[in-house]
Amino acid sequence: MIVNIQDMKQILLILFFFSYEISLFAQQKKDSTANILSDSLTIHQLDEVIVIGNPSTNYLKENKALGSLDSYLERSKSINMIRRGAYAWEPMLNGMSTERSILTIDGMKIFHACTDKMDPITSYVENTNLSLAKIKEGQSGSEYGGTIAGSIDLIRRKTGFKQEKKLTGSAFAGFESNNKQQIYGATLNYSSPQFFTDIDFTYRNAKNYQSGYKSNQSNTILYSQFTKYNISAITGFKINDKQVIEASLIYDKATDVGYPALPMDVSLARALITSLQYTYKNPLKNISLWETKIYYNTITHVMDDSHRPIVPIRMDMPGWSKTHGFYSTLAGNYTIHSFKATLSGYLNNSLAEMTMHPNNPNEKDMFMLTWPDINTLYTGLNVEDNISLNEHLQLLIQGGVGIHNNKIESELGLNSLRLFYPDLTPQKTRILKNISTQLSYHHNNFLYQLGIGYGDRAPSISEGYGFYLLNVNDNFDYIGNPNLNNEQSINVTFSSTYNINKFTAIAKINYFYMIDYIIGKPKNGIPPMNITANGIKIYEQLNSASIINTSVQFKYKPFDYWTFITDMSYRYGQGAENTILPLIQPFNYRLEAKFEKKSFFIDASLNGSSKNRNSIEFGETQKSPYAIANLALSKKFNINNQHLIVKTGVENLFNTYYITFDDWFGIPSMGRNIYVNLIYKF
Amino acid sequence: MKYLKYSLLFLCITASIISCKKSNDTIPNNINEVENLLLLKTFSDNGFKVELFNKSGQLKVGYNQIYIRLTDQNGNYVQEASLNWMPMMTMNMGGMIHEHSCPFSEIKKTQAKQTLFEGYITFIMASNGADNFWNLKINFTVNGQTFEVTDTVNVISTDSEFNKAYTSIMGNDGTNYMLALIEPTEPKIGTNDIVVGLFKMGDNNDFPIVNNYKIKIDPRMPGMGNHTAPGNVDMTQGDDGLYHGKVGFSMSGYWKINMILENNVGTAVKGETITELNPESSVNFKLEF
Ligand SMILES: [Cu+2]
Ligand SMILES: [Cu+2]
Repeated sequence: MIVNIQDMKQILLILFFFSYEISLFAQQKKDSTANILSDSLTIHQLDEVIVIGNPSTNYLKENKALGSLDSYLERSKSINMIRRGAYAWEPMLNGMSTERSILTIDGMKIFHACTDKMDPITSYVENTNLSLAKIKEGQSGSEYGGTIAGSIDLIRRKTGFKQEKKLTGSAFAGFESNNKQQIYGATLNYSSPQFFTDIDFTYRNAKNYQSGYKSNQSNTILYSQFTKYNISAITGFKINDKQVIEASLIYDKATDVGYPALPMDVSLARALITSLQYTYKNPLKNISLWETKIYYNTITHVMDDSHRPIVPIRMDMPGWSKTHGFYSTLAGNYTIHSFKATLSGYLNNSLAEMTMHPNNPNEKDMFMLTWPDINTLYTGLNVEDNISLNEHLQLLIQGGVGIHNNKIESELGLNSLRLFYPDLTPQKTRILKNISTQLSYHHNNFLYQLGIGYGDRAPSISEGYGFYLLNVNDNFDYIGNPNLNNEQSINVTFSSTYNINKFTAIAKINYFYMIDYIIGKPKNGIPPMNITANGIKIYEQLNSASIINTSVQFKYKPFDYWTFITDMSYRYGQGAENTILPLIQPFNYRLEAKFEKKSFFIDASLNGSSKNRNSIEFGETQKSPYAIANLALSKKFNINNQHLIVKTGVENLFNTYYITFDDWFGIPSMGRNIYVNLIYKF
Repeated sequence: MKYLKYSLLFLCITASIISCKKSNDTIPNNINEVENLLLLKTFSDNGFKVELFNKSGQLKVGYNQIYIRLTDQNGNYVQEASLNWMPMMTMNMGGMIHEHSCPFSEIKKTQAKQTLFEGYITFIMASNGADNFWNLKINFTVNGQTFEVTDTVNVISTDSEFNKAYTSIMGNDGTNYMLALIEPTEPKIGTNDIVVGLFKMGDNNDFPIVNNYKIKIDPRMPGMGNHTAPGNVDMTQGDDGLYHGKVGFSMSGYWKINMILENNVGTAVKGETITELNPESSVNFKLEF
């Protein structure tokens, strides 16, 4: 590479939103074999990396170290979280919900099992399982399959091989006043030159949360409780200097999870996520890495309304998702080229049922399939080449193609959908393709980046094959449409970064122009199934839709120990046929001041939002502007080689009552919350 | 070992010869063509045997597809015969004896069968004790000789909270109509073929098929907000005289199939549109699966 690593790091440094964490990240890089890929990581200059706090890394700078993964992801300016309660928020990337992005854990595809999106895959992991979240924008996120919005890859935490044999660990406990959440857990890490293993356990239990104060209104949000257990293990074995085998397992179980924004709750959400990975360093001249993984995961989601006192009819709606998959990546360098090729594939089976218990006890239960026991088989090849044209200029070219096949396995499911599509055949095959390019120009204190991409995606299971899925926001029963075309997107991103010692400014804009945009449209003449629903919506395609995302961030360190951060972002979404796209973030801002000295840390912040441009068509109401103040304190005590970190803080200091644009069904956000986190490390 | 092998071979050959012989012995007359059917009733006369079969082994109010097998004096199944029948109900209403029949078809040879004849009877009432009973008279002519058998048959009611396959209505044209649900016998989630027999009370105590009407359908789930399902096609008369259409069920469970009966000029003679205030039509079937 012509650009020296030091230089690259400099560039990376200013790119990270929490750039002070770079040293931590670099540390991690050295330690873990998976991050051998980190050299190629530098290619993706438009990538964003979020460091996820966990007891094995440095907790000090995290406001609420034991907060949920959701609260970490939410910090990205590219991500909004749809909240259906206090648990399992759905990450929206660049103003688009999960069917338009690729969510992976260490490159593994996992598909949620809930027809109501109660369980994005981010709900099946814990902070302690992870070290980073890598966010890629638009088509640059197509490594593991077709995407529109981009990708979020959650990277597993691991200690990695170390020269000296060492056992480390931590124990932690947390309490949050608002929903009486208790958090307990422990991690144990063993490393040696030949072998490492990391084990962790986390338990969370929360009661109903309280919204901010509003006169004449109860502030207890009923059905917002949850309990979560998570256990994970990862272990690596060095065959020789070049070859490593790794096995990983995550078992996650949530019980008694309430969803105040939905008419149903979850008695069990369970995931088993397993993988086996083989890594070969420098197998050939010019090839720095060959990494292959096979994986399997299975998800069970048991949803019912047994806790709700009044329902028109009792329902059970369990769902299951199983995925087998693999990928094999080759990365290398040749003269000015730094390249990577990934072959990946998966087979997913998704099944969801609905059993309705009539009020008349003599009447038979009613039964239907809401996802028709459908298999999705995908195989794709993705290649990229990062060309260092000169010391200032880098060009990344990336492209891929995949075959995507859906097959309805159940005769019952097929017959159900044939009510709407009499000529429906069980199988449908699509070709997915993507191509993108990024140009980076770095000179003096400036970095400019321009990215252009084109790609498409297949409809999600619900969009293609869902059967009477009630959306409480607009109160329509949604029917999938197997005849949808691929949704296509042309995406342009531009970002500009200015950095001098004490000051950093980043401005970013991206524009998505989508063709055949998939969205539900009301269908007259077909009555709904759910008793309370207004009507039927069938997934159709708008000729076009556009989403614009903009953000700016300023960071200023005027004196030692002090940092001031301001950031602002705004999104806009509009489709053809006067369709205002739903769930589009209005103007949002954050002001933050940090003081950090040795082992003491204090952080005060204010974040707020303007009113949203609500989409009436999708049942959205206009939410009032709000501003929330937060305060955080932490202190680290060192005793020999042991550390105790004490963190405390208050969120929503003034107990403000507010509803964000992405609070599903307009349920209010959390009121004042005082928390304490205790972390002991050895 | 060798011995065993040979003896096995021998056994096989013997078995095949025996089975061969058996099938040779069976004259086509005595092939069993009622494998999937159940015996309803046996009538005898002059050495002739008349056996009635159907799928359920029961006669019920509504449409009954019935298969008939004749056995002659020699114990051979009769392949050529002409048959006709007359179901007749006797009702003792407080000493007043009243008789009536019901809609029924002619009896034809069953297609692709050698020993079976078939027809249908749509019973319009259930047998009820000694005072209300059905007699079935069957005439058959074999080789120019005519015989007659008569006996009581038991007709059960199938109406229940969640099942109704027969309905009789008084149209606003003053005609008494009878509707019998023939298909689906095995309803499934999805689009089902629906077949209905539409009859009326004739002038001469007969029950002719009603021609060129239309039966509009609207399936509903009374147990779940009275929702309907897509995939319905109104019923029109087919070549067989019965009414054919499609009915959609989006889920399993209890469905009420609401109907509107329209005459040959498109005027509704009975049945109402379902609205929020009017959850059912006066013309309906019920089924549960
Ligand atoms: Cu669910
Ligand atoms: Cu129903």
